[in-house]
Amino acid sequence: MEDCVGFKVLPVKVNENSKVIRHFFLKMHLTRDKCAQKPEYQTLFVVGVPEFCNQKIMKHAFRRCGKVKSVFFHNEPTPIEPEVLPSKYFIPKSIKGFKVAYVVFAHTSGLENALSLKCTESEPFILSTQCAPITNIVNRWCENYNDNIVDVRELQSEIDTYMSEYDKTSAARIQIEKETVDNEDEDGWKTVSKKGRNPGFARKEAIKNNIMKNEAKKKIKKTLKNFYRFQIKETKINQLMELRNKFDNDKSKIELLKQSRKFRPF
Amino acid sequence: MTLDIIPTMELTTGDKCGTKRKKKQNPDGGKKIKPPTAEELNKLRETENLFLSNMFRLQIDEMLKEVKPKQSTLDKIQEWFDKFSIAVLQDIDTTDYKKELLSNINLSEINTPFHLNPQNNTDGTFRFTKPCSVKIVGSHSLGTSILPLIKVDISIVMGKNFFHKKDYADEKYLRKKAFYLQCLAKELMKIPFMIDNDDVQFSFGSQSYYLPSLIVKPIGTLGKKCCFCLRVVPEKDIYNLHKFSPNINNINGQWYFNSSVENYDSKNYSTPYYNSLILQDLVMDESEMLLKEIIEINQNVQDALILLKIWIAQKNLGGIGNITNYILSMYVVYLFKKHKINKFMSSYQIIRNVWLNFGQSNWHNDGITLVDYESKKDNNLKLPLMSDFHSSFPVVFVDSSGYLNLCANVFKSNYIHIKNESNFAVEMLDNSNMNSFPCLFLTKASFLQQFDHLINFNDIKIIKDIVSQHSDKKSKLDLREDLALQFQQIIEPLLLSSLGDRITEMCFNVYQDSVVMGKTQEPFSNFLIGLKLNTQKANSVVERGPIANLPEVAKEFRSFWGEKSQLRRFKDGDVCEAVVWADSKAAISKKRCIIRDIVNYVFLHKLSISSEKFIYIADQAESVLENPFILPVGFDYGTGEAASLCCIDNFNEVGKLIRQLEGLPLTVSSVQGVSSVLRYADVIPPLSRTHVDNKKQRKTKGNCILAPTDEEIKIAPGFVKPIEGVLQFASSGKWPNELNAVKRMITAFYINLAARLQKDCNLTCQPFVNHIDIMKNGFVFRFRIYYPGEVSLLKKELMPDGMIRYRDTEESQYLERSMVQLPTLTSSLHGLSVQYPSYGPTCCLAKRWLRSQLIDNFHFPEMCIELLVASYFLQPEPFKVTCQPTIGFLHFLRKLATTDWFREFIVINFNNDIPKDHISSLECSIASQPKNSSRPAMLLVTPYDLDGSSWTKEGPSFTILARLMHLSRKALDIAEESLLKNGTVENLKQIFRPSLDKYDILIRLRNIMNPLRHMAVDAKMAKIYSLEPPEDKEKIPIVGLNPVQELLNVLRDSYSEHALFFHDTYGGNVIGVVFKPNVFNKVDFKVTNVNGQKLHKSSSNIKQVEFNLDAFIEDIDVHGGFIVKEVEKCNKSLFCNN
Repeated sequence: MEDCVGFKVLPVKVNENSKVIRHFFLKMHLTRDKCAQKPEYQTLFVVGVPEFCNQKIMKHAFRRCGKVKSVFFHNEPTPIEPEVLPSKYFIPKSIKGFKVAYVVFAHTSGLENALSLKCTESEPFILSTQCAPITNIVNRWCENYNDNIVDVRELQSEIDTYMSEYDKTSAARIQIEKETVDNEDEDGWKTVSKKGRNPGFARKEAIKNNIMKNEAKKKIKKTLKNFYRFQIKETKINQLMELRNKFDNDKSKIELLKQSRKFRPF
Repeated sequence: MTLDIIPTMELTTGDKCGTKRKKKQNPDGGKKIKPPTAEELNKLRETENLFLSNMFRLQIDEMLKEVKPKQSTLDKIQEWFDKFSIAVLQDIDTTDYKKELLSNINLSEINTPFHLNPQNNTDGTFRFTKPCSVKIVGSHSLGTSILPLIKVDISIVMGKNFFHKKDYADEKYLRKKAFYLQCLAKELMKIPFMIDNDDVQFSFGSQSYYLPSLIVKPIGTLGKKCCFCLRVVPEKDIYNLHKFSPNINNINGQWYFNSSVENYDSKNYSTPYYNSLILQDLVMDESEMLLKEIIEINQNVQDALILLKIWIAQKNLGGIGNITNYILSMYVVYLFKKHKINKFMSSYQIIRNVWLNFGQSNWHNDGITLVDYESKKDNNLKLPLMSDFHSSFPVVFVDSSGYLNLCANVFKSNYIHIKNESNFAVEMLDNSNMNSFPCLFLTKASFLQQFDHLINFNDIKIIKDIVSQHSDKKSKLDLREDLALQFQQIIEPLLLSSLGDRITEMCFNVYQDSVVMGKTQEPFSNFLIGLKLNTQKANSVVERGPIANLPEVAKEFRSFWGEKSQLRRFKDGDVCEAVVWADSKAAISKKRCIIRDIVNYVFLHKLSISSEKFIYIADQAESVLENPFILPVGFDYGTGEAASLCCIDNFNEVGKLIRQLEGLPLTVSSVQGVSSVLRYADVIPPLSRTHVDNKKQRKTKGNCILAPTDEEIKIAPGFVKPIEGVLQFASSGKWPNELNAVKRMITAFYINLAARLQKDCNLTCQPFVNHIDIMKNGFVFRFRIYYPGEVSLLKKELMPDGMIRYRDTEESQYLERSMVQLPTLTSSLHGLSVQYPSYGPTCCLAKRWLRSQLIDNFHFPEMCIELLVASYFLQPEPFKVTCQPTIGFLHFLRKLATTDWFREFIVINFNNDIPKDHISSLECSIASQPKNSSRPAMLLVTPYDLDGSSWTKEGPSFTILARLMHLSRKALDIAEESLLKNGTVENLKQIFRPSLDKYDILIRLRNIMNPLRHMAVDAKMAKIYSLEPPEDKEKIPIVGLNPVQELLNVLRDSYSEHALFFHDTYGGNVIGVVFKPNVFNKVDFKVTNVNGQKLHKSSSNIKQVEFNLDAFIEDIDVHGGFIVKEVEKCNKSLFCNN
């Protein structure tokens, strides 16, 4: 395989009959942030994977290098651990378009084999075989459609367990809040929350802005506007300014219209 | 531009100083403000008093600058005229021309541009001689001529030796004038470096057929800027004006009819039109003096006249029968005399007063006169009475001599049309919500777009037949070959009496071609009649006549309508004569064209012209909305309105059922629609149907039919489009405070709702994770629940200091758009289509056209189209809202073609809810934006989206818009020409067939996999499917499977960086691919840019990747499978190797 800026270039064919060579770019997965599901020295990082490659196809294709434990897809390279899906139904949206794949082998040998594959342009790596065929868009749509039709009872029970869990945790949180409220700590500070005898306001940006606005208003009320002579003079000047400004604004608008040759009636 | 910025910059800094001074009380800061000069103060104040606004004044100034000729041009014109007058008065050699009897003139040598009938006069002589004098008259002499083509009127004054005493009778005067011009043209062409010899022609302008003027262009560059209209006029006081009173006959009936007329009495055969032709020349000097006296010295009046001239010109009412500039100038003089205008008024005030007074005028009943009766009293002249004028002419405006009706040629309908337009203009000026200036002066209004229905006669022979059969002897004698007026006099009363209050306005437009030298021209080439319909009455299927027991009136009604008239009992118990035009259950598209049926009937029975003899323009484009291969149950499909209505009714019913459910955890507070069909704007509205396509038992799960996965689909099942809506619950404090929990709660509601609807209402329902599907009457409804808290949860952000703030995220914006804005817009637009029933079909036509150009929802979202169309319906100025979708579609094309998308935005002002200062501040902000800023190409400002970007963020792009501007301009031209010249549906359809050149790759699709194949523009199907009524307890069919659309989506997901994909959503069987310009450039290897690329083979160390074109083509097949029939590689330069 050819080298390319730290990547190996793997020539790939979609299936036996295909005549078109594509390139996958392979590399050992190495990051500073360690990740349990993508262990070092076992994980192959693949870039440029087309949309139709699903888990099954990738697993089957890389089987020849060694046993594949799992395959993860992402939109772009990411150190983030793949989410453990908590639910069968509430799943994030599937990845669209080209993606990157993390192929986790069961043994380090799998990775080594993969990186030293002896594929050439004339004898490329074959992605899809009989047992893992590539499906076209209509099939994929149909499968997806059928999967979306849920089993109502199962879904309901899943929701129920989630909600009872949620209720429990939120109840616990409220309990803690309640306990901490109005208790002085060692240095004499009190935690203020929305609850309790003397509740504070929520710490939101909008509320803060409102308070600042009110303050500014108060300030304006206090100042005298036409007390000194210069102030009266100034208001007159300002009026004139406003007129001039308006005039100039209009002029700039006209200028704009002129640019688009708007004034030629014919 | 830069020059203008500098003063503003100064001002802002000055302003800052001012505020600084306030604080520091530093008197030095104030010096930077320029003290206002008296002139500036005056100007500012003047603007407020004399003009509508700053903007209006500035715009007037700018436009006048554009249209007024430069001094250098004026000098050149004067120079040419001096040369011309010397040539005509001195140099011309007239010795070759001998005196000849008019009866002996060799017509093959000198000819007239108009027909001579009868060919020869019995007396009179003609000889080409030198004129007494030549002078410039008309608009140029008054200083009101305008670019781009300055028309200079030149009077050639002939003396008494040319016009004889008796010449005014029997057309001799007119013929001699024409002969003279012909000879003059010949002589002028002999003079070197004088006129452009290739471009000498006769033109009727807006004059009568018998008064052509000779148009010559100076040779050289001046010829591009101006032309000279030469007219022959007699010397002053050559005839007594008294001879041309409207009730006097000047044409011998015996001579004209070539036989004696029974009961011929010249008193009964007065020739008012003929008289006015001669009078025009006789009173010219006097009117010229009058005009000069008032206009020449007054710059503001000149400006006002130019403005009026532009206003009229933009209406495109050029030919005979209209209010001309000359009449308008005379009217300004009239208003001056009546002290409605004075010399202290600004140009704005003058035009406003002209419009105001014209709008209130009543010239067809109570004409006006410029005669000062007081001063003429002592002259002891007996001027013709106003009643004489009214009995001879439909519109009366008498000139200062008291003999000439300036409006002799004006059609009554056209006068009323201009009168209405004047009122409309004042209305626009008073409308503070719009910038009226461009509407009044800068928008060109083609005749086609100003009306709803049009009738076009383009065969002069048919008109000749009609006139010769139906015109009476008197007007034949008076007008002779001038067919336009005679035809109009026949048609106008006929249409008015047969259409009655179905129309509000009627207008005639006569197209006269100019004539090449030495040829004879027909009076006109096209005769167009525009009808503006009365939306309240136009579509009524029954014409109710008088009650049967009024025999007199009933008889009249019966004799007018003939066999069509029948006795009918009406709901109020009356038995009336009535004419029935259509079944009351007929499709709306048919009802819209009832007027056509009436016109066809009347023309056939009264004038015996069948409908092939003329073109009736009304609903030509709408045929593309028809659905010829599917027969729905219970209504006539037409253009789909009934189908939409059926969807809306069912949607409301489902909504009602949901709201009536009791005992839900939270009560449903609102049910709102989202789908375009609920706005009457779906090109293919869903139809109620049984969905078992091939009666085969299908596998099911829950309440749904499963999509087949074990076998490949080889024929696309019928496309089922869900009708979508949004549910909102009454507010409650019990919602959880976490996003995931909220999502689960909503899903739980779907389950609950489905169970209840199934149990209580017996509806087939299926809950999903993100929505619920409900089946009713063969429709699938899809509802989503909107909980406002979800948006704020999505927006919530925790700052590092513990502060919570809310920021828009992509997801929150999407949610808000689809759950808040879309339902509000849907109800607003639904309201609009109730107000204007043509709104829906117009939207559909606009969509259909855009899609047919392979611009689909990805490039130009549906909502943008609907809002663009809505902007025309909400603010149609300077037009009026049309009730015919085909015309509305032309307006959409115009809007798309003429808007400058780089500098303008569209305002869709429902209920005028957008504050005025917001619009002006937006204008300023766009004005100050740099040219290539990242704003969306299109801005659609609605009261619900004041930035105007929420629907246009993803598209259309500037590239697409630029292409569409080009396409729409072309389409508009082709459509107008096709409608006027051909008028058939098939011919107009060409604008719905896109060109497939210029695409790099064409993906041909298997038609059978396209579920919308029956709606393609040129669809051919083996049979017509009749739908069956829905069955009970049907399972929910496979919803939303459109293989072609899925293929497009997947290609776009993978390759939108590399290529653009184009497809006609409505049944198109081809996908066009265009690669982006820099796709084939090699780029350096980076992890982020290897998608769809392959390593470029090279020996160098720099690793580069290039686009993998073969893989791209293979992907089309891999994804498409059975859908793709063929991938056609069109761009030879890309595929030359293969």
